[in-house]
Amino acid sequence: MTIECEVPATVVNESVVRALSRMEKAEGWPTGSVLFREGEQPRGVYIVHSGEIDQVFSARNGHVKPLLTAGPGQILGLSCVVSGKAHNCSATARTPSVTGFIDRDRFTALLEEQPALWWSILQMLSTDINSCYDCMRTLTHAR
Amino acid sequence: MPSPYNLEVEYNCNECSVRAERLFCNMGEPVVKALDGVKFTSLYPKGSLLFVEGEEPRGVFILCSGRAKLTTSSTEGKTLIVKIAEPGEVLGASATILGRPYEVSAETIEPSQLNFIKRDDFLKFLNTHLEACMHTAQQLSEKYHSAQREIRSLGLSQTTAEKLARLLLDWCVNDGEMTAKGTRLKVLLTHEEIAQMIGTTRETVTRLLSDFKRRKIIDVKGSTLLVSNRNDLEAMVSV
Repeated sequence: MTIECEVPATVVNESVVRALSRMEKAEGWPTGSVLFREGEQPRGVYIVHSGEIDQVFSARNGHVKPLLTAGPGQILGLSCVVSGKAHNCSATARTPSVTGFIDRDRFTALLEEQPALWWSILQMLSTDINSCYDCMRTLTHAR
Repeated sequence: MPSPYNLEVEYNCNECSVRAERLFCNMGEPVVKALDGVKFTSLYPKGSLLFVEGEEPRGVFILCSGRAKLTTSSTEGKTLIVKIAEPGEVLGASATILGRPYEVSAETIEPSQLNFIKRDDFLKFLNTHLEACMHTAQQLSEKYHSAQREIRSLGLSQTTAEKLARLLLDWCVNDGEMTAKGTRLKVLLTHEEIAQMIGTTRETVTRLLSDFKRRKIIDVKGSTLLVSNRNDLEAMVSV
């Protein structure tokens, strides 16, 4: 499998890192292990501390492809937690990785405690969208 | 008095009859009142350029009625339509929030009503109203999911015919009108624009539509497209 394009997922800013680090649960992921699967309801957010996590998309015929990659300082699953929608892709450790996990309820409680974090959430989601546009430009260019 | 472009214009957001159906606009009355105080309502004909990729962000446009295409260009100058924005969507929000140039261009594809909010006013509005932040976050999440769906289609589709079939099926689900003969679609896009949605050339789209027509999968009369055999389209799609 080849990576079609590498773009950052959500980049965490420092104020968010400080707030999140107090309640995250560190988890280690060997290469190939699956953080979450496409179609699953979001359990929470994953802050990538080290390693690389592929965001893998699958077709009905079983064909799968990693189209986005997240690295240290990025968050996976944020848009799903905000919207309550199922994951659009699976997340698989491309290299041995360490993430900090915060479950959905705790994350929501944190936002209620510190409403100022919403502004950071908006910035992170905006960055995610821009990253997707970069990826789309790359995929179009490649054809 | 007739309104321009025969649009039903709503100048007061609190009195908007469809506000409750809209992800961003469905906020409490005090917040909507504050929104009313900072927005400028304008009507645009088809083909109006709202903002251009690379331009510094001036603010956001709330699409009240009509539709707009969001496009981006590759370094080679190839245009890709990343999304057709529907009523209720906020356009230009990510650039406005980040204070970075617009990542896409936005152009109306039908007469539209838009409420414009200047960048400073929008940021103050978000800063003052937590509910607006939450609704904007939901709107951005929705856009992110939509972009991921496009990435999936661009990255996983094996053929251009598959991408066109996927697009027609999406239209059937979102805008199709069921009839005894099949699903009827009103297509406002040109072949060139359809090509820009699936990353191919106008010639390929014209050839593929003719092929679908010859195989009696679709029928085209003017801007009306009838999908008479959805199963055949489904069979082409793996994404």
